[in-house]
Amino acid sequence: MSAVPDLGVFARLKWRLARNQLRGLGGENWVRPASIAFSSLLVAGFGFASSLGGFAFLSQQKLPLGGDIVGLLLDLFFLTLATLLSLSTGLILFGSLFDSPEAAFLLSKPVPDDRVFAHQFSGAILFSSAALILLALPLLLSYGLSTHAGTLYYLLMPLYFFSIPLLPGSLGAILCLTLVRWIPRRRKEALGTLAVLIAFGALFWIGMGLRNLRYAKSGDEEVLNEVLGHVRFASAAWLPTHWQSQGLRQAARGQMEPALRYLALSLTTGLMAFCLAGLVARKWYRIGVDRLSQQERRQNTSRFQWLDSIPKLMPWLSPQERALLLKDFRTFRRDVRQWGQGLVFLVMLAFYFSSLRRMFPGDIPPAFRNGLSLLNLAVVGMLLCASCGRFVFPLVSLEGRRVWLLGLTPVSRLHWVRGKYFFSLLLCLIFSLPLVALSDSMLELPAGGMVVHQITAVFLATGLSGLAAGLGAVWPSFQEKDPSRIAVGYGGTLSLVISLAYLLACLAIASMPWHFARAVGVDQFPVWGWPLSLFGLVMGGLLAGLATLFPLHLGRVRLDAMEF
Amino acid sequence: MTSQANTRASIQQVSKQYGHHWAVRELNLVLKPGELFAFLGPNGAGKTTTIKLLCGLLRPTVGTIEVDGYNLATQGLQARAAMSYVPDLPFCYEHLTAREFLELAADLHGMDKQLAAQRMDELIRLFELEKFIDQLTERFSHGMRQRTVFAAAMLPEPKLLITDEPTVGLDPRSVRQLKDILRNHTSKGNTVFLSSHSLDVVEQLADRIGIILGGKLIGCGTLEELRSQASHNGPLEDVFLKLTQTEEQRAGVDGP
Repeated sequence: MSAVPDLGVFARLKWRLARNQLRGLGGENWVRPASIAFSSLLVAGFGFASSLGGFAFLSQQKLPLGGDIVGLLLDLFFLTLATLLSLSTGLILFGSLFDSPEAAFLLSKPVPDDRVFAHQFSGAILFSSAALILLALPLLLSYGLSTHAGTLYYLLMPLYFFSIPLLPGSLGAILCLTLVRWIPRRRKEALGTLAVLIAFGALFWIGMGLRNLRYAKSGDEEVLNEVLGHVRFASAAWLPTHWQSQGLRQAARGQMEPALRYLALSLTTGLMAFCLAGLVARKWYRIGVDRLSQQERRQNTSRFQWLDSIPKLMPWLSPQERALLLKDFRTFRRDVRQWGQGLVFLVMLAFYFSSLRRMFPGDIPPAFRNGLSLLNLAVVGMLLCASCGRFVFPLVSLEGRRVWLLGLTPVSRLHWVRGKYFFSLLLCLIFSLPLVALSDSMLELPAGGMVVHQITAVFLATGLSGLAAGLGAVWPSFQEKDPSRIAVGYGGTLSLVISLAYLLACLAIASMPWHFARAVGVDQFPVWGWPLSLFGLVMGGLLAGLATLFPLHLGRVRLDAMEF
Repeated sequence: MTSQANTRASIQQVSKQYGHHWAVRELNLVLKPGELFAFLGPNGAGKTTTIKLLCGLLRPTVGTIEVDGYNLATQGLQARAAMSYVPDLPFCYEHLTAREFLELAADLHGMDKQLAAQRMDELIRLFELEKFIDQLTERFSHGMRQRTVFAAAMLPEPKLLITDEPTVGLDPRSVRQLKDILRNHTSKGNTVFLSSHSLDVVEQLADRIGIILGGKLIGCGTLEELRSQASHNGPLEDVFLKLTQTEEQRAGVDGP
């Protein structure tokens, strides 16, 4: 018996897992993958259509698609993608290397640590590459079609797709292993803080760009040059993302030699980074596992216990519902990783809204005020949509295999869902109403518009909470422990698509009438404007009621039928 | 190989610190070939930490652990090749069949294909896995899962089998079966290190028993030796309670 298993063990394992899962699709479970495929196709199709439209627009503006400006845009796209891939791979790897029963199982076997790492790394890369497929594939296909690229471009594209996530994924892995090895405590929080710092860095950079734009003295050309100058670093010759963008552009032109050269550069650099990550894993992985176990058990600090009295603000809830709400609330506030992500976006939005006024040296043009305020309301709605999908939808699923515990309690199953709904509604209202008020006051929107927006924000909060809480109970995933995986799974994706549709409908019905009237009567709000706005709000309220009650009812029916 | 022939594993002066808390303190233990060693202790006493140290999942803050003569810290691969670990919550890949899981275990231990196939047939019969061997493990009950994981752990005929709460969730027939299998395993010169709260099982099976409390080994020996230490000639349950209560009282008098 040899001590070290052969190299094909993990490849066989992956193949068998994939094959068995595919076989499972042949049965009654085909609805789930079909829905995922449909949603993915929808997103990819939308990306493809918008990229195709974008490239057509650039061509109309006499900007050559093979030229420097489009090249710079592609460089920027690949750099952004690489940054996202790096962070997402690092976060996913943290869970699969240090917090999974599979890792503990493999580490107790006579398998070198770097092979366990490589196995988990490939899984993390595959998972985080979904964004690559959904975002980059439509863009690159539309680029190929727009530039009339030849066969070489389409032949090399899969190879480039293999090379694109290697380097950022490896860097994310090295970052994750280094953090666990060297930062003594609270590594999850450290990784989260790093993500926050990167987000704030990006925000600062965008802010500087906006400030420079404001001082651009005349003409579109100067503004364009200012913007391009601000992102020129993305085309630095030493950046691997630039090699990928350059290589694909050369392939589109039919230039085989440079296209292959850039591919080789990109691949070898990625593989070298992967080898380096393997070396780091060989040295630090097991030490990291050991150090993680040394975390002291956290005490329940009393600093934030006052927050637990928030559920008492809902006296109409039954004591059981309030108890469930308090449980969810406590679990949520103690998981920094969860609310930290929401907080980052919230702060970024608040920063953007509070900077709005500075973008206009003089009076804000009425058309801008009208359009921008609606757009900002939509952005807040998007944030609510994403937050409900990420934090509220997984709540029923997170009861996990212990869901029978709740099943045995003398609490109606409607109360389970309603507790989660009110939890979501409370948080959504607390964060969205001030944000919308901030945006409107910065844009000096008239009082009537502010009222319409506040009411629409309430509709958005209630409808999106109802959809997330109700559909979370309709499509639970009790096997999964990671809320981010639940959110991006079948039910989560479908719920997000439905929530986005609701968001658009709610904005169109509840807010658009007022904005329409305002656009028609720039100087004097028309007489018919108020009845129309009121009608819109009433209809919006009905829609919000439907979006709340129907999913909650479906969720209750699903839970009632559930066996434990 | 550094250790003597009558030592399967040795834990020498091992301590493990979690933050400011010492989970295991100055632990010394020698496991001999052919013995079934049972490890007892109240909840939070340091049993699971000791098991994870012995498996190489954790590293001692102080001290050395050797398995089959290999130092776990410096020769981890060789040491882990000589052992198998069955945790209290058995892990199976849900999208593998039980047979595929056994094949994976054989592959991970680098077993020869023919030998692995032969051992698998034996273990499938031994653990009565025939009915569900080709089913995905996702729908397995705890007992079916536990039997599958045990079979996978026994596949490479480990010189040291470490198991945490092996009888939890098993029906009486399976418990009996498991006891026979563990006894049979030690009769071939292999060692079993078992942690359990089922004192009747321990009483029936164990050659030697170690009792840990507050990270310290407060008693170690045969049941007779422990009875003599506790000055109590009753069943293991009484001996265990007496030893741990005496130690707790002493710790209370001495202070933390």
